[in-house]
Amino acid sequence: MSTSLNQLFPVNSTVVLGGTVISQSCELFLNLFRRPLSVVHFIQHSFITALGYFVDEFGSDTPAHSKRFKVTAFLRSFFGLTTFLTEPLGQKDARTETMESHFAGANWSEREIFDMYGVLFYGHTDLRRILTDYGFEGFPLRKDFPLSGYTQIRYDETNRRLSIEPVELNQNYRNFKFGNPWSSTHV
Amino acid sequence: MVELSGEAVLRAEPHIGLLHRGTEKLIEYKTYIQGLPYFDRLDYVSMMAQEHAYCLAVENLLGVLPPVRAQYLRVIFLELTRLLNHLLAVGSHALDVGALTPFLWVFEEREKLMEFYERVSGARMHAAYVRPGGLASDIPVGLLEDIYQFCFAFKARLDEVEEMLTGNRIWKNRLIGVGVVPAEAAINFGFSGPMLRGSGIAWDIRKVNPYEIYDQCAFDVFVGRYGDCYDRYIVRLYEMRESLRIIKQCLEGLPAGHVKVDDRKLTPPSRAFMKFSMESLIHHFKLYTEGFLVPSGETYVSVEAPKGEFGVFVSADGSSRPSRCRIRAPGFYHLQAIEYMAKGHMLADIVTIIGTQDIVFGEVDR
Repeated sequence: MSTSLNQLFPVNSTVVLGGTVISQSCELFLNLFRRPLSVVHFIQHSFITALGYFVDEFGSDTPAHSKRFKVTAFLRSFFGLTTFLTEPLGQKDARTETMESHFAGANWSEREIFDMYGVLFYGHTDLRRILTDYGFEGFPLRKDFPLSGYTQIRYDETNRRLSIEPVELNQNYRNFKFGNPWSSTHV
Repeated sequence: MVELSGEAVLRAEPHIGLLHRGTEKLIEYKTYIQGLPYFDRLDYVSMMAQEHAYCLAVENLLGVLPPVRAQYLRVIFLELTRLLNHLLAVGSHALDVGALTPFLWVFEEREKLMEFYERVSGARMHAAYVRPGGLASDIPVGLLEDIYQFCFAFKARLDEVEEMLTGNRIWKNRLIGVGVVPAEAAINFGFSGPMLRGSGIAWDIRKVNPYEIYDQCAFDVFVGRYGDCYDRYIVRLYEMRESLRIIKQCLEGLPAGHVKVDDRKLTPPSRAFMKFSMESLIHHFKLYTEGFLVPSGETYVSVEAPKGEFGVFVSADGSSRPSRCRIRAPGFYHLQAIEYMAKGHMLADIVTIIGTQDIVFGEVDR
């Protein structure tokens, strides 16, 4: 299968598909300000990208940017074409359309993005927290969430139940920042 | 949580996250070398496959290629890891379904495999042996001979397991026609690895996007026909035989040479050098405190881990720590299809389905 596509699109060919597209070696990067489902649909069904295959969907956070969150969907076709759909989102309007209707696999990925970043997905059938504890508050993968979290849990012998308390560390996390007097050194 | 009607499954909804350790968050606070051992602890039965994916991602960003000897050794250990994982998958699957004996046989073999791990890295499981730029150290004398002996004897052990299970009436009754996933559904759910191949799709990242020296190895990819639990069991068994084939080819072709990139800004100097070379001492100190700097960029690398496509997305900002490290665990996508696979079956079939999915919560929850 992959060889037949290599004949169609020799490696390093550029595939252009409207909008801003950079392509190298049969990879397709789409940086979109909105994520039209028509594009997802196209990738899923068109001949070029035949048999769109859902690989992953994940978020990332760069607080310095005005649109701090990025939701990236990663699709691949069985002909060897990979597609990244990236959509930046601001903190106030951190919501986008779900891909669940196209790929059932996106269900848990989007739940995880919601859990970790607080990004909402329109049309998602079951947008609940997934990895964090029941009753958890906050969005752990946001950069402003501390590594140690806010609460700690222990079993309280006397009351015979779990007790949740503000986190108390004997030693703070030592975040060494190595100022490097030399310019970038690697290789 | 399973909703039943009598013994028939109406709804099955996994509540995951009980093993969530925040790996992705922790890695953001560690240097690239310190982040490596977290990957052993994700899927704790296929350790090296995951550290390898991470190393490939970091090497991709750095633009370095490990020496050929390191690539061969990596492939040998990746395939040993595949054996390690599939043995547990098949063994514990059989145990769950009610056959205790293969489990015991298989664990004896796993013990031998973990000894190989121990001999190269000092750790039985969490090896941290594959490092960005090569391997932690060269292999000890006599290891290859022992791996060869193991491969030779292991074939017979596989035959024994097959004799016990493949034609077994109970095993077939419990597996055939259970948890059927047609090809379209497998794609739709984002399946990968034996789960996808069991549904009849010949998709193996070692073939379609070869890394290390897989393009020079001769091996076959096996696919199932019906997409049920039995097909996936057969696929796993044949993959083990193919792994043996790959290991033998690597043992024959293993060249002499270095096992890490000859670049002191990236790999640590030898211990002996540190005793008399000032530069080595400085390099060692800088590598283990600050770590190496990775130029800014983003990369996604996926490898064919034993359970399926294990992907690592690393976003670097030019410092010695990744700004984002996304881990694409195959089990996460397999587990969410459990309702689809179990609906309409009996409660006892859920056990079979969990077994066939080869779920390890370390990677599902991350």
